[in-house]
Amino acid sequence: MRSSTFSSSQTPTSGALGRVGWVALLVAGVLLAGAEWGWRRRGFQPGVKDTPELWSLTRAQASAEDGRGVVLLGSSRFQGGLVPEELSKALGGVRVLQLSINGSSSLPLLEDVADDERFRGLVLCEVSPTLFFSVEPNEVRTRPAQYVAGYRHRTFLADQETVLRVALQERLVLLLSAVQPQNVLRELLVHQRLPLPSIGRTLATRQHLSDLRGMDLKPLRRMWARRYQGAHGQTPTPAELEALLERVSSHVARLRARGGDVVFVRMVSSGAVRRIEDERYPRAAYWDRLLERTGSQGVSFEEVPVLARFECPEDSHLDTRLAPEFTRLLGHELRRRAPGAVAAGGP
Amino acid sequence: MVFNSLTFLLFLAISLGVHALPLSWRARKVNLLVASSLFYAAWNPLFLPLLWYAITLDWFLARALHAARTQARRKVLLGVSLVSNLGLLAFFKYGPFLSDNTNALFQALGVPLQVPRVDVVLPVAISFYTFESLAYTLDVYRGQEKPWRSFLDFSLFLTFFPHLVAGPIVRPHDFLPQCLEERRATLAQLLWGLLLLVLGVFEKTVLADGLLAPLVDTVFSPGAQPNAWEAWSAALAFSGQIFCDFAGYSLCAIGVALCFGFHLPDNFQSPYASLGFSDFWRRWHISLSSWLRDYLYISLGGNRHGPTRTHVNLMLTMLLGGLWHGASWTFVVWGGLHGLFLVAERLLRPSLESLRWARGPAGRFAAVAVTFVCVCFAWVFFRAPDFGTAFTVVKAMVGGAGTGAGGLLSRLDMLLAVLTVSVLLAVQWRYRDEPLPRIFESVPWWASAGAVTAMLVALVTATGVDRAFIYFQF
Repeated sequence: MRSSTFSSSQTPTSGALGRVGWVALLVAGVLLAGAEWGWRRRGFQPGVKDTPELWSLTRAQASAEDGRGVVLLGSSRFQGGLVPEELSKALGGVRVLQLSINGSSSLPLLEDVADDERFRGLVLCEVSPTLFFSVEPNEVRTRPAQYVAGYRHRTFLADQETVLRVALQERLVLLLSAVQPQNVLRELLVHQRLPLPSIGRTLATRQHLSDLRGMDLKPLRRMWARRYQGAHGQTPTPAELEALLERVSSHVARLRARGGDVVFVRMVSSGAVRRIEDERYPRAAYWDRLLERTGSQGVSFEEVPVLARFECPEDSHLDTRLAPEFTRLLGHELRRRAPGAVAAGGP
Repeated sequence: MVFNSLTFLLFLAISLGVHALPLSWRARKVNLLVASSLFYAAWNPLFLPLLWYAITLDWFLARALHAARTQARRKVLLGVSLVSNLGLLAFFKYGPFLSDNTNALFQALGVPLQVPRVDVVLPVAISFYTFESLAYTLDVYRGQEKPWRSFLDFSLFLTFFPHLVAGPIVRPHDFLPQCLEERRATLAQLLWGLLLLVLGVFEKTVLADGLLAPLVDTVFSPGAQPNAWEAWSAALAFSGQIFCDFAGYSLCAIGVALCFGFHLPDNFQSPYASLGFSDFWRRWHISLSSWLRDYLYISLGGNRHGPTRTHVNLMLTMLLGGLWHGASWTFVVWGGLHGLFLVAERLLRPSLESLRWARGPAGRFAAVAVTFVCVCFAWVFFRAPDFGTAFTVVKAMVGGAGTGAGGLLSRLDMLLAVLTVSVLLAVQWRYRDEPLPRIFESVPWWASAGAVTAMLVALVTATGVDRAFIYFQF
């Protein structure tokens, strides 16, 4: 039974199509160029989308070549407070990859690189106490676990798509979520104004930049205090802590067995957030035990005078403008304190 | 590889470049076959052998069928094709569903048996190429077609990448004759094909994913308690989302095929302006509904054995059509609802046709409105992840939401969704029977240029969350 219709066989004339096509391309080009210029004038800057696919792409580099280099496993404190290029310089030109995930524990990421026989470099593992020691299952563990699962099932094509997208995103303001048509419309209808530049943006290296200048920091401080008090999960029982330390020790041992190493890092926190962290996770019971059980080196900001002088404007994260200096100083401290571990990262 | 990706644009540009080379027609068909295999392997190369198994098996079975001297042998050969094709589909697509339901049945009956759960990855496109391949064998069995002589052409028919993953479900007689003559797109075909691609990706990326999907996802998430407004907005939004998603994919497929000089059949024709449910199924996923009609409904006896048998055949066809969409009872209910709508329409048609007003504009408008509302209602079961969610939404739609319900959507979200779907309905009503080329020619060129400009701008700037085309999962 021949029942199909083929409207594609009734193609309009090429003259009309050509005119429509060329005019549309030209006008769209002008409009897009104008919009790009306009958004930039309003203070917008290009930024990439910090997606699981971008994480996968970066993660794949950690296992490439000889598997050496430094990987940063942590949360937004690492993403915003450390500059991969600066750390690379401070450690003598090693490859530094930012694998931290916003609002996440570094533990599933440590597990992932420990499982990966091809990786044998240095892990800088952030210990943000409420994230690292919290009891699972909770979001701070499941999110990075999903990233890892996505990485293990990624395809060549997905990587290439991410490469292409990132190349465009880091050049065009037009690709920011904030200036998507529906968001512009929403902003116009709800707030009767055009969108304002976001305080944060991500670079292709997955470094996160945030500009808090001119912001009222009090609500942010309150929000972080609330979150650190309750939202990151429960404090572990002694047995749970013991199991966690055992788990971490085995990861560290596996990495060391093939020439890699792990240095734990505690990033700066200030004000109420620091008080909460110290109260819920006393240093002696958690940080010191972690270093003792794993036999690893650790750098905690509070015990290094040059790092201890840094303050977080909203109590939880370093100011982006201070990140290069902080990174440099941390790099120097690492070389001073753990030269053997730094050597694992490669030349 | 999806049509709304940058890698696809690159792939298309390279494939078109290779297709334009001054090579023999046979060499260019080989190139298309290689490109199609790469396109498929980009998802999961492990399933490529499965696709080639289906191609090879039906190719040889059809030849053997044609050469068979006895009806018994022909039946056996057809049986082999049906068992092999449908068996693979059943194993990969319905394996977990069948094992879970069997175990549930055993448990209910108190039978101390446990069937091991079949947990396999669903090979993309299997529902589509299985139906295409079966159509070929069935056509040869019925004597409507002779086995095609070129294996290359037959392979290209099943694997041609524009339609491979999510249709349209192409029939052998629609595609294979196109392989006989050298095909190279004219300039007009190339431009029109690209325009269809832009329109399709716009429908998918901007309308379906950007405007409608977030609202739908919120209301249909398990545990959500929508109020009546939110439930109706979500049902409306999903009706728009699935149309833009699937019709958008079909437009892309037709457009891309045209860029290579091939014609694929239309898959949608203003379905939301349908004057009844049989009309709806002549306009929605046309290639599937006509496949089900020709190979299932007619094989069951169609309308040749009296009204009762006709109604049973309709119900069976729609129930199986529902199941084709996914291994879940919610899809079966969706199909069942459409079966009931079709049966009700057949029963009521004589009475309605006797009413004078029903034949006028008011009657036509009422028919479109009733059809659309019922279709929207049925979509709830199609979209809901489980019956609990479906019943929550349906309950809210009929005003039965509890006092704590609501607060899921802003008024602006609902307004945008309703406006988008209203524009979609108005356009479909206005251009109910007009094919796209005629619509294009009926509007001034500057209006078309304006629309294409707006689509291009929206496409570049709409870079939200990537979602797979809904029909990929089927």
